Amino acid sequence: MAASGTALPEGLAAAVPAPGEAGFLGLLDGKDFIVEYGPVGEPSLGQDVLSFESGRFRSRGCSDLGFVPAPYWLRLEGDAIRFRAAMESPEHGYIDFTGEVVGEHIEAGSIWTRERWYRTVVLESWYRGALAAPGQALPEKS
Amino acid sequence: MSGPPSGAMGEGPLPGWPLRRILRLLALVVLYGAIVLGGTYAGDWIVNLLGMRLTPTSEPTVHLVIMLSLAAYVVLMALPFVPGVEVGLALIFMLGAEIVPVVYLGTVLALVIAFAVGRLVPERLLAAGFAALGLGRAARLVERLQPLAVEARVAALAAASPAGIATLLVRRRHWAIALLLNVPGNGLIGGGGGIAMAVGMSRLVSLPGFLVTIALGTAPVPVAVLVMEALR
Repeated sequence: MAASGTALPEGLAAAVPAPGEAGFLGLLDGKDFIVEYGPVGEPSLGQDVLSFESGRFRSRGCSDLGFVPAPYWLRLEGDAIRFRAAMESPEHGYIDFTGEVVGEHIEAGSIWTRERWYRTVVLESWYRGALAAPGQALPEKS
Repeated sequence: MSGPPSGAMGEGPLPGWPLRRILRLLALVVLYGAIVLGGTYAGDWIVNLLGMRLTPTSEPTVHLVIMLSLAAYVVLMALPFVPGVEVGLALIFMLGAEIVPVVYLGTVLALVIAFAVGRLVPERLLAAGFAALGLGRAARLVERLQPLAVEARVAALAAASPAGIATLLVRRRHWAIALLLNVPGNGLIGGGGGIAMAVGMSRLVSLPGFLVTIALGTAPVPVAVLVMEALR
């Protein structure tokens, strides 16, 4: 299922219910996940919060840098809810997020790309964490 | 009294060397030393900044440093006796092969600027400058060459030079420039900027000829880096 008004990527359409079904959005919408994150192959740099709100995905750390919360796509595979989102920032390029939620646990990866006229910078990062309990204080900054 | 103390009449501690000339040379050594040291410290500073981890937060700073480094590289490369090539190599080592074409174009731009500066300095000022520095032979040479056309200058230089290598270098000057730019230790004779400025001052090479010469003469290292990268 895609966030409202967003076309599904090819190959995902058959795997998910039709857009607009409130029950499907509810699979992740309104949920916050507290995660550790860091560059691939390196230890954690700190904590971040990955949130699904009103059909949009956001990373608190990325939002602080100007990346706009973006529509997210979902795909169900067994017990896993796979998601994907692409956020863009006017100053910092774009970040593609892919990940999966199994139960209360989330694992995700991101690829940040910044294109300059003389080179393209790419950074892959990992995210791992769990659903924030209702009322749990969320980390403000990583 | 047998005479005034040494230096009072302009006589320096070295026989035949007036005090003014010694002070002038000392000032030159200090000036060049300051330029060389400044260039070296600037290079180290840039290398440290480029070593920053690339994240969305740090990337804009690194980008700014790269742009400033490129500008500094062009300026340092254009200055005689300043080790600007270190900045270019640092950029290549830190950023990889993708920056090589940019550094290469920066090199060509820097050498053209140095050439243009040398070319635009009026020969009268040039001769006066050499004379002020105590380089009498160079000053007389410029004065003697000033009224001559290019081919006549080449002939005069060849005639005035020791037979053999000097004559060959003057007659095959484009090859000599390309060779000099690639000789390790050419900083001792002014480095790329100094060589280009001297060529411009000599009026023996046209701008298009110089452009082609440096475009080819500075290509070996960038091409080698790109080939090595492609073979990896």
